[in-house]
Amino acid sequence: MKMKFAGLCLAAAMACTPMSLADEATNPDLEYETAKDIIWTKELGIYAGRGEGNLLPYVENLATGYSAWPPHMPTPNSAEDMHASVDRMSGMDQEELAMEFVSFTLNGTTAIIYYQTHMTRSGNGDPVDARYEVTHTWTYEDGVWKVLGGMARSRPDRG
Amino acid sequence: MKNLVCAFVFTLGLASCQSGGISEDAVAEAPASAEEVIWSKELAIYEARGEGDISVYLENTADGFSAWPPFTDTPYGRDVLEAIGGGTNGGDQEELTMELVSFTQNGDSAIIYYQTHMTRSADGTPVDYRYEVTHTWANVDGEWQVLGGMARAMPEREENQ
Repeated sequence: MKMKFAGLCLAAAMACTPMSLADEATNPDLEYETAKDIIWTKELGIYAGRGEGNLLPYVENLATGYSAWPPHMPTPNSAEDMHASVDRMSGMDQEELAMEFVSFTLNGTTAIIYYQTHMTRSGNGDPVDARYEVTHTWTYEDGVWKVLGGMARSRPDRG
Repeated sequence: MKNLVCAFVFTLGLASCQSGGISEDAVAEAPASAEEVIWSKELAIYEARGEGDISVYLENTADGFSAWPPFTDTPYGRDVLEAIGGGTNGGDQEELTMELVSFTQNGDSAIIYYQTHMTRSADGTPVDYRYEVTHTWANVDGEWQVLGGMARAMPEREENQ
């Protein structure tokens, strides 16, 4: 009986433990290597979809509050802007782009990934030679890694 | 010094936003928002950097800090940040203004976007450099700490030309 009571007390204590603490202590998604693999796989999936004119893999991974700042915009865009782009991207399915992982860091439920892209054909089929450096910030929201924002730049000429 | 002006203007802006129909006690007791805390820290980091002091930046970095400025091929961590003085290499004559562009937060993760305009470099050389910057902040044990970020020279855009 005491064992059952102790078990009940333990269960009650666990139930009262803040979810964030319990999650972070035991959740493999929040371990460095696992988080890195999950997020890099998602990045590859996002760009693979974009290359086929499909932004859904991107918008389905947006965190609440998403806001990112691409080079061509004077201010960051929003999730609404991304959703509005879904239809505009339709038919832009000829992009050729290679991706190279650069770096990753993690602290708690916040992660940052850095990578390079090299576009050799744009979505409308034009040959291009555009190299970018990209960062995305990912946050762990409701048990899933989601992209909160980021920035990209044309690769600087470093001589 | 100009950063101080930015900070003062920002504080004034906050004060004016809070003044309409709210008692002074309520204003005094209102906790600072994450955006207010983080922007204040950004201003303090650049203010100190302008005087050749990188310690304020270092003290606000999270474990795992890694940021990617335009002039390096890959991101760097705290050790390099300290070694190069945040890009100033020990100079203390930087003149730079800052403008907040945007902020977003989700739980313990936050991103701030801002612009900087440097008119004198750390070694005293007159310059005209405009940058766009993002920093990612993580709430670590109740304190916002910078985990990383990226900066770029402000791109040429139609509205800039």
